[in-house]
Amino acid sequence: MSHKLSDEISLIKACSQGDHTAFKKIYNHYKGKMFSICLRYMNTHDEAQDVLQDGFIKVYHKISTFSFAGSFEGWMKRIFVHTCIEFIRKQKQHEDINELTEMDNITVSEMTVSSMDADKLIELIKELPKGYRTVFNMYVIDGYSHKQISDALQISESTSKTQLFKARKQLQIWLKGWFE
Amino acid sequence: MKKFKNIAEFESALKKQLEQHSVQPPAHLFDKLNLGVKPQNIAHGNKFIKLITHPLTVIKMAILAASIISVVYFATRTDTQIHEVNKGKILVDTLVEDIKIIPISPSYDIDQSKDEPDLDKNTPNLKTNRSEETAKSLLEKTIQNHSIIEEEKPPTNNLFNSNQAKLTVSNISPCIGETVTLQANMTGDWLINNILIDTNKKEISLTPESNKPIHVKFHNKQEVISQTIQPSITSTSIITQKLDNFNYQFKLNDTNIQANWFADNELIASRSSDVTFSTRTVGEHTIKAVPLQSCATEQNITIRVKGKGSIAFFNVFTPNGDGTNDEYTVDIKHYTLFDIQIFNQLNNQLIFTSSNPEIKWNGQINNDGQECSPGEYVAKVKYQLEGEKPEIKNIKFTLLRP
Repeated sequence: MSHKLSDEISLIKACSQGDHTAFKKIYNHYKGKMFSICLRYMNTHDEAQDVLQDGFIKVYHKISTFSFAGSFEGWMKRIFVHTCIEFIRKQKQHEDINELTEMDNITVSEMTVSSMDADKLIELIKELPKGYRTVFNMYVIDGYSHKQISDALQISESTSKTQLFKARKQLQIWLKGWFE
Repeated sequence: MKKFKNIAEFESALKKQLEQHSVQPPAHLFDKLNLGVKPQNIAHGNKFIKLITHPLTVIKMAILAASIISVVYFATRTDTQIHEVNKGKILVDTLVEDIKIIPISPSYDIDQSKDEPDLDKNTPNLKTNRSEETAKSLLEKTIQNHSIIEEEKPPTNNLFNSNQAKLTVSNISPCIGETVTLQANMTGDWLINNILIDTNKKEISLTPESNKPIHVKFHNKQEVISQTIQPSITSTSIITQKLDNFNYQFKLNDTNIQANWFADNELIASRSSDVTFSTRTVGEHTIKAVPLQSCATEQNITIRVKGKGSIAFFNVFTPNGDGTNDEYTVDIKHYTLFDIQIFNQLNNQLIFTSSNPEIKWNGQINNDGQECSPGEYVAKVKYQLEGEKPEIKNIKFTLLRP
């Protein structure tokens, strides 16, 4: 899927004119990668689907603002990460912010992942408590800085760092045999 | 598989993998995108399909499916299969024709007798192997294509309700500065105000520095215990009453509290809720009350004692018998020491001395008839005002004889 969408520029332009067919082409090209992002951030497949829909609707409505300055894929990825975070924040409002609720669900397991298999790794990341996971996803995989994370999640930078530390620690426990 | 040197190396490999990773969402999803309507209206409309989504569940299902394949030969095509799985429920839609689902018990097997949970033993049996994977993908495919499956998870606390971590706190409301020890019956990570302080420890201690509540969290792999330490503080303050310039009374606002009292670090009273302080020393004094009750904090108050004494010098006098300025006067009040020497500035000759400001120079040598000529004279004045330090001043003045 790493090949570039042929004629991307004209598709984007058509799409910003409201061309649904063009948008469907863009959707079909990127749905897999974007769904992978959603799966990484969200708890369930259902949520990931909801966020995927939200994200693509946003892309559709915002595509006219795309400036062709950077990569379209990167632009889309940021939209999806932000959509995920919005969703998580909304959920958080309904939850007791006390992290206890979040921590209760830790499943204790030594995940037996025998290779760098992306599906398995996503499962593994999803096993991290939500707070750790979001920071880990943003920092390690999507390349956000602690400052950006703290702004996006409305947490302090030091919380972001602590969460990352804990996520790494947890992964190292789970993947004991992976390290020298 | 090649082993990683450190977590960073793992992370960069992970990043590489996941950046290119792609998962196909359900095929019908695009049709559900209502591009003309506000996103919120559509976002949650997708209740049509419920999938098994939790990875554990997926793996459990995989194990389950594997056993089905080996145990049940699925030539028997049945219609609806509904099974109870422990406390959880799995409902399988009529559309699932190729697969039978049989109940399995959750594979958690927690050794509850041990205090310290051992990762290997407490780990749910989640090992996957080749056939499970195949089964899993088969199952997922089936689910994605057809099924409506709902699952109720058994409440997690049923799994872990014994072998619970317990915290013992030496003092839940310590005084400020008093050390508190928290002990758990097993090792775990400790967070204070959400900052990781220590890992893999059974015990930590902390010392509050203010009366802000301290949130301590202990977590091991299974559970989290929160404990709030509320440092207690007895608010004391010193009430000052000025009796006169050199006498003050101090008392604590709470007369039930006794204190040792210090003035400028010297004990002036012990075991008392009030004290009278007298000083003749002008300037700042620090009064300290050290309460004897444990949580009351030390109180300091500073007073400034103003001197009553004053001194004024004049720079000219006219000893002509007209009744004004006939004598050289130093105007001094509230003094403890006074000494004046007057010199002729021309030859440094001592002309007059006095230790009493009321005995003043009249312009004659030693006030004894021989008049001094007009000119510049110097008065060397040693003095000390009440409560203040001794001083020496040289004042130049002019003797005028019109």
